[in-house]
Amino acid sequence: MFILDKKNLIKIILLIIMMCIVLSLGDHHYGFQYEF
Amino acid sequence: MISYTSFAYYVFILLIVTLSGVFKNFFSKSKMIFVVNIIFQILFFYFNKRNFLNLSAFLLVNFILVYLVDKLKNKKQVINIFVIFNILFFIIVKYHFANTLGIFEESQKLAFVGISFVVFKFISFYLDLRNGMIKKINYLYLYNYITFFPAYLSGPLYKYQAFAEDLENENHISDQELFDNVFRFVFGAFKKVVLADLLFAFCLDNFSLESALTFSIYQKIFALYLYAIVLYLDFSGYSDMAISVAKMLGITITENFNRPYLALNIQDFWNRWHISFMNWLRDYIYYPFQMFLLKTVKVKDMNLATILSTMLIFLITGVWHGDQLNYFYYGLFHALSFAVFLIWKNILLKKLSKETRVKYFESKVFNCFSWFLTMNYFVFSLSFFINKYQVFFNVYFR
Repeated sequence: MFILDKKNLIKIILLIIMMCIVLSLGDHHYGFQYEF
Repeated sequence: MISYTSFAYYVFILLIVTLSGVFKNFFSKSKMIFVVNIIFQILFFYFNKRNFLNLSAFLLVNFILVYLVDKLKNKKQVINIFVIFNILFFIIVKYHFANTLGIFEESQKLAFVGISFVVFKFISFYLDLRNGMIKKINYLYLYNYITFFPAYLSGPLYKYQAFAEDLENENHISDQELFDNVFRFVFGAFKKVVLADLLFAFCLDNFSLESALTFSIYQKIFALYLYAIVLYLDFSGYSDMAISVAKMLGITITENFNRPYLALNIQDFWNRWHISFMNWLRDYIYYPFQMFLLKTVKVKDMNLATILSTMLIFLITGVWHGDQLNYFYYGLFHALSFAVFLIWKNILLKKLSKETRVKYFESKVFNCFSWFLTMNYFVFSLSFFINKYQVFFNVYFR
């Protein structure tokens, strides 16, 4: 059961912020490539 | 080939998690994951069809071998041969020394992306089967186990039996768990795509050798510490993404990291870093080799057997990363460091009373010193790990 308490609310806000930043970067990724 | 950090992958995850929730009462978990794995493979290898064909052929050969094992009464000897076949295939395809045999070009025609983890999972399956840890072979489960898409490329590694039990268990996660795992997935992507990538720009790997050579010693040391942070953020971010997607589909896979940079000694560090791979090495190389030393070679000293087995797994860890000499040094450095640590630990156990040891380990000064030493030991070891061979020798050891 999902309850919208203070902890989950903070998580939702953080989630939206992180999602916006990640998506704004697009597909560009030049870090490590694990292709073992 | 779609990447785990591409927009296409995020959309794919969103779609399959939503659809698996909608259809959870109509299809079994194993069938649903089977379909998703197939779709993922087609998308993943869309621009590299040879990879797809090679993987399919390799899976087919191993499935025939598993079928043979299933039908035979005396399984143990045959399984050993199949394990050796997998190891030889892996070595020939992955390492350039096939060049010396004059078969490098031919061997590369058999290569496919993700070969390491596919081979490791097959070896794990065969050995667990030999040791009686697998109750029943189910080919659908086995296919799902080998090609499970969130962990296909770089793990984490997990065991067949636990995976099969999760597939059989039709319980689905709660709303709160789903939300927590969505959060973990996005946080993992954030760590990998934003934080690790941002810091990677300042690591030595990102510079040409000419500009790296002009760095001052302080800049080199700073870049090395940064590299340690980037490595952790990148790999733990990827692991978070894989583990959370698996969990959203109702599969629990092994954790890969447990705050490794808080470790207080070398042993503690390796219990916290790339856990699933270290567990694999422990179960399938460390214990069998230790038993071999004690029973076949008749090594009488248990500590010596432990030290030699530990050294072997670290040498393998180093060489597994690639066949360049720096990876061998990386493995050797860890093998020797761990051996020294084990000897030191044995001396402390013999010389100090239990009360004195407890007093030491509870002391904040001692713990701070241990942490500082462990952290710097690992950071230093990364100088061997730098991807570019020339950077390794010319930048750090000049």
